[in-house]
Formats: sequence, C-alpha cells, structure tokens
Amino acid sequence: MSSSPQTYPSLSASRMRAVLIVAAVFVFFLAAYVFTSSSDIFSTGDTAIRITVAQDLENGSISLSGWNLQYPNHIKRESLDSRLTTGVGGLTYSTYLLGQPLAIIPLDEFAPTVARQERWPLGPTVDWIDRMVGPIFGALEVMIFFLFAMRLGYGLPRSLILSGVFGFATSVWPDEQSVLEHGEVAFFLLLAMYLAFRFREQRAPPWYLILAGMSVGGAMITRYQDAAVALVGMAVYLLLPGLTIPAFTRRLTWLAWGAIGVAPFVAIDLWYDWVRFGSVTATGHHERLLGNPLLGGILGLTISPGKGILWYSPVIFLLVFAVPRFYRRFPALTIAIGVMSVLFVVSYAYVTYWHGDPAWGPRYIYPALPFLVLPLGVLFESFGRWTTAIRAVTVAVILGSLVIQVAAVSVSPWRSWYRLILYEETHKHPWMWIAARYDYFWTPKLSPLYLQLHGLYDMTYDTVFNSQKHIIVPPDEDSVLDNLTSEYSINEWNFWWASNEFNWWMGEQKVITICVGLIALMLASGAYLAAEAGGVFDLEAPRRTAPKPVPEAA
Amino acid sequence: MRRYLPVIVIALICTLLGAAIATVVLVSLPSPGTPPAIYDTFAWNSTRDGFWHVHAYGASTVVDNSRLTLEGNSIELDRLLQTDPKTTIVVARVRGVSFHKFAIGIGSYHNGTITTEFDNDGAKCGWGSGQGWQVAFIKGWAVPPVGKWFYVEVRVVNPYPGWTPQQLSTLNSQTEKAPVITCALFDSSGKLIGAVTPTAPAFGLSNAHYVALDEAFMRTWDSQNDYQIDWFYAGPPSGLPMHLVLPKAPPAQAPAGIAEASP
Repeated sequence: MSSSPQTYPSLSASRMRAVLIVAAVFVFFLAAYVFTSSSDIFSTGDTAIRITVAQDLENGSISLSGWNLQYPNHIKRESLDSRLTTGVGGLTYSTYLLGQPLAIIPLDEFAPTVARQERWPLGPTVDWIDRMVGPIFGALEVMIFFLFAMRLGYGLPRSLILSGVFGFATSVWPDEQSVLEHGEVAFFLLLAMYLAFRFREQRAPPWYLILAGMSVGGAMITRYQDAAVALVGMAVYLLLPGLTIPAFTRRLTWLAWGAIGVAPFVAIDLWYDWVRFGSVTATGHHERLLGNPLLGGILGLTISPGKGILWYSPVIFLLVFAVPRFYRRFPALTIAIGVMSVLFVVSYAYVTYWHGDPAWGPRYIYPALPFLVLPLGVLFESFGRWTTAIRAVTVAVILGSLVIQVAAVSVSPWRSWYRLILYEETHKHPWMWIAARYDYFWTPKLSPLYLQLHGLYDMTYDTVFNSQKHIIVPPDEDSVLDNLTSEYSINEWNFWWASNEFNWWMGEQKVITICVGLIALMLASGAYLAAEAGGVFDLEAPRRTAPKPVPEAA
Repeated sequence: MRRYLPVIVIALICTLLGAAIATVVLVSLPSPGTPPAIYDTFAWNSTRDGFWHVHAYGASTVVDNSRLTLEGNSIELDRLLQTDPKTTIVVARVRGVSFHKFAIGIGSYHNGTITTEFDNDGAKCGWGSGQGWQVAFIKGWAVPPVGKWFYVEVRVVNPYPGWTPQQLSTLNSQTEKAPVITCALFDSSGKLIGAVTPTAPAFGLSNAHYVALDEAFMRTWDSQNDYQIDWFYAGPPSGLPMHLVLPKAPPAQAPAGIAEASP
C-alpha cells in the first residue's frame, strides 16, 4: 500500500462526539423499532422454536427437552416439519443453528426479573422481551450501515438520510419486526464487509481482517449458507487489484487473516452438527433442499409480484442511477457487492423453499439489502445537480418504498394470508403451506404486497371513520380461517401498543408510559443527530459541503 | 441567536432524556398484581371499563340490568387470575337464548385451557391434552333448554399443592401428574345435573402446569349465539358467592419415587 499520508472520512471532530453520534443512531433506531414492534409475540413459529432452544441451552440441554416427535405413518418425509427432527439418542433437536438462540439467552435470563418486578405474567413477559432480539439486531444493522456510509465519505447529513432510507424504506424494518434470524445475519455480514473495507481502503491494521472473519463467523453459526456467500464476496473484494494494492500473493495472505477469524465458528457449526445428529456434516434436514428450477427461482426472488425484492424494496431501482458513479469511486467494492448479491439470489433460487413463506417478502436474500442500498448515497451527494426528473423519481420511489414498509409493519401480514387462503379455498384448493401448488407469486392481485397495502387502506378507513366495514369475520366451520382470526390480531393495528394483546396483562398505564419513554428517546437522539448534522456544536460556521470522498485505493 | 443554539439544543435533549428516565422509573414501579379471585356481577359495565379484556369479532357484549349478554360469532373475554395453591374454580350463572358454542374456563396465556361448554347438542367438558383437544359430554340434549338458568363450573385441583418451583423442577415429565379437572353443570336451584372428571388423556402437561394457569375466560364462537351471564366467579372454592354441591375430585398424590420431595 502507498506510504503517502492520507486522510479518510472521519465520524466527527472528536472521538467523544463520534461515539455519541453512533450511539445516538443506535438508540434512535432501537427505540423506533421497539416502538413499532409487533403485537404478534406468541405465534411466530420459527422464533418460538429458537426461544425454546435458548431456554434448553440455559438448562444445559442441546435437545428440546420433553419434545417427542410423532407423525402418522402415512405422512411423507417431504411433509415433515423441517425445523425439528430426531437425532442422537432418539431425542428431538431443532435444525436451526446456535446464532439466534445464543443472542436470545441474555434477554431470556433478564425477562423473569422484569416479570417478578412488574408482577406481570411470566409467559407473555418472556415472549415479548425475548423477541426484542429482532429490534436490537435491526438497530445494530442500521448503526453499522451508518458507519459504513460515513466511511464511504457521504458526510454526516447524507449518511443520516441514507440510514433513514435504509432503516425505514426497505425490508429491513419488517424483517427486524418479524424477529427472524436474517437481521442478525445481515448485521454480521455488513460488519464483516465494513471491517474489510476499512482494512483495504483506509489502512486499518490487519487484525481488522481477523475481526471481519469473526463477524462472518457470527453469521456462520446463524445461517452458514449466507456466511458462505459472504465469504466469496469478501474474498473477491480482497483479491481484486487496485492502484495501491499489493501483489496477488500478498493479498492471498489477507485471506488467511480472515480465515483465522472465521475458523472457530466453523468448528462450532461442525461440533453442533455432531452432537445433534452424530455427524459433522449432517444438518438434520430430511426434505429435498436443492433442485428448484433456477430461472423460476431467480425471477421469483427478483421480479415476481408476490416475492420480488424489487417490489418489496423499490429503492433498489435507484441503483440504476447510482451504480455508475459508485463504481467509478469504489470499483472493487462495487464488484464484490455485485458478486455477493448475485450469489444470494442464485443460491437461494436453487433452494426448494426459496420463497420462505409465510414470511414477508424474499427473506432469504435480505442480508444483501444493506449492500444494495449503500451505493445510493452518491445520489444524495449530487442531488442538486441531477435533473428534475431524476430527483422527482428518486423522491417518489423512496416515498413509495416507505409506504410499503409502513403497510408491512402496521398491519398483521396474517391479514393478507387470510385473504389469500380464502381465495384459494373458494377455488376449491384445501390450504396447505406448499407454495408450488399456488400461483400467488405471479398473480398481482394475489400478491401479499398488494393485499397488505389493501389491508393498510382497510385499517385506515375503519380507524378514521370509526367503522367496522372492513372487519374480517371467518365463515362458519372453517377451522383454518377461524384460527387465523383468533390466533392473530388481523383486525387490529399490528403495533404492540395498539393491539388488544398487551393492555390486559401489562396494564394500560404501563403501555402508555413505555410508549412515552420510547418517543422521548427517539426525540432526544433525533434532536442530537439533527444538531450534529446542522453543525450546531461546531465552533466554526457549518460546512456547506461534505468532506471530499476518498476514492477507493487512490 | 446562533451562540445560544447549542445551549438550547442541549437543554432540549436533557429534557427529553429526563422524560425518558422518568418513564423508566414509572415503569419500574410494580403493577398491583393479579387478583386472587374474580367476582363480577355486571353491576357496572366491566367489558367497557377494561376489567375484562374483550376480543370480539362479528359479535357484541352488552351489559344491562346487571347482566352480560354475549351475542354473535366470536367473543373472548379474558381476565388475569392468580390460582389458589390448592384448588381453583370458575363458576358462572348462565342461560342460553340461542344455543350454539359458549364456554367458560381457565387457561394459560395462549396455551392450554380447560372449559365447560354449552352447545346446541349438550354441555361438554373440554381440555387440551398431549393428544390434542378433548371433549367429554356432561349432559346431552336433543332440544336445547332455552331460557333456563344454569350454573356451570370448571374445577382444577393442583396435584402438587405447596410445592416450590424448585421442587416442581425435579419432576419427571413422563410420570408427572396432571392437574385434576372437573366440569359440572347445575340447575337453577343448585342441583347437580352432571359432572365429568376426565382422566385419559390427561390435561396436557406440555400445554400448561397448574401454576401456569393465569387467566379465566368466557367465550363464544361460530354464529347463532345469544347467552346471558348473571355473574361470574373465578378463584378458590371458599370465595364462591353461593353454595353448590360440587362433586369431589379424586385425591391428588405425588408420583412414586419423588414423594420425598413433597414438603
């Protein structure tokens, strides 16, 4: 690397203020995500299993204590629950990895203390606090995204705006609300790439690469498939040549640093497979995992009306304007992001359960989202110089994307599934969660996206006009739809404080007090960030322009 | 003005942080706790004032003349409850104007429940077991007894009264005893019409232990319901507002091999 002195975009004038800014970003998004967390704390099956795994780990058991899987003999292996299986010693194990259960354990240990102190019933208190793992990793992900944006040289105001777009106008928001493990994976992968970027472009010491490897390791013990994709992307990034990048053989040693970091986590995965299923390569899955028609999967994950990421996070469309400019400044990073994103889509397109239903959107490729939004910062840098048409399109796309996310988090997604199931049943298809039987991915009027926006309209109408016009009442003797209406709050706003699920055990006053506290935290951290962005605390007059960004390896 | 801006901003942030800290203090003050018994005569509108947590779709609750009327497709009324260490009962004085599905019961949050149900074909006992939802008839009828008052009861007996959580944790899930449940129906004079104490399959331990039962409830589901409830009680038998000749449940015994853990 070049030995000439260079300056790189810093976070603030002083270390203290840099820490405060980053902390404020985290607090703001954590408060916002907790405030908008879902009322559905008892029926997210995948998370419920991982909470059970965490509680069993707390008691020193790797198996699911007391679980005894029993299936009727005529059930085909393909139809068995892929999340649970019988393993070593005939005991029942989850096929999930350790990542999210380990993150849940501290919350699960803390929750009974809260229940005792507040005299709340233990069950819902634990359920609610354990699910805070979603908002926490969502806020951490946005915090790292903000750091990355700052280090890319976007400047504080633009980095904050971009982080706001990322945090509220992409699927990151509904993803963290769902408390699935993809937010945790995205955080670790983004952190890994950020550390690699700091090493390669901004002269961070080599141990940053070890940390990057450990970050990939965090993803490795959560979803090893995603970590493998990220490893390829990171290797491409580190191996690509550049003006001040040393020879190829030297760059190969960089990979070794990363491997040192990730190796212990690979060992943990192998050990965990061995203690559960008796082999280091056994995953516990009995169903066919691979073999989905590749083209169908790719189109399904990208452009299908029911699952396409472009419709679930339309801000990605803006890459058309941003990529050329971003590539000129960060060519290696752009290529690595491209490789990683393509690999995410292609690898999951080949998976038989590529859609990840009944989750919101193409959840398996959500860890690629931060990398697809980061380049959009260049749009804001030169926003005033773009043509009016491009500016109008940019604003419209961001607002449209925001509305989609608001619909996703404010209305229970089960309301959309209710309508979908009702449609299928009225067309004589008994409902089963086998997506291949249905055509809702490619029928716009059956897209969960459309149904969710319709639900937002219905709920808004009933709220504004104090009406019951859009309340869903199931038909008689339909157990599937009856369960959907009784198990999920599909006729109420999905926020925990607005639903009819918390007030009866938490108490109305506590609900209001917690909301006031969260809003106060949002306002305090938001006011601080706005003041910093406006240069209120600078001794000199605020700079009108962002610091000149340093091109990649210049 | 710019000179003072930092001070103003810091003052604003400190005020907001102060508000946030104040809410933390307020939230940390414990709630009054769950009541040892519920007795609602519907003398006031306890469905509207929040005493009951009401979940109603396509149905309505009306409190009038000290009487609760549940009418329509689906209503659930829940109320937090602290179980008695030994026995907890849920009793209601009920009549059906139009019979379909109505139940009173006791349960744990979104989990196992034990109910006595009214339907157009009879009164039944329902309970969650390790083999799914179970139903046993208390009394069948060809023509529903429209307009007659009944007392319906659910009784749950703790199989391990006085055991501490630490002692309960020593139980073997394969041999652990389930709570003993009894569902009973009485006529308007308090005379027993029928009762069942189902033993197999037992109330599902995988669903809830006795100590996990934390709510009493009433509910209707499906359409064509029109029920009136004169009063509702849940708590220890000693608090029951009137004397009912309740069938005795079999005595609870600790399973073999762990009796020494009994206090």
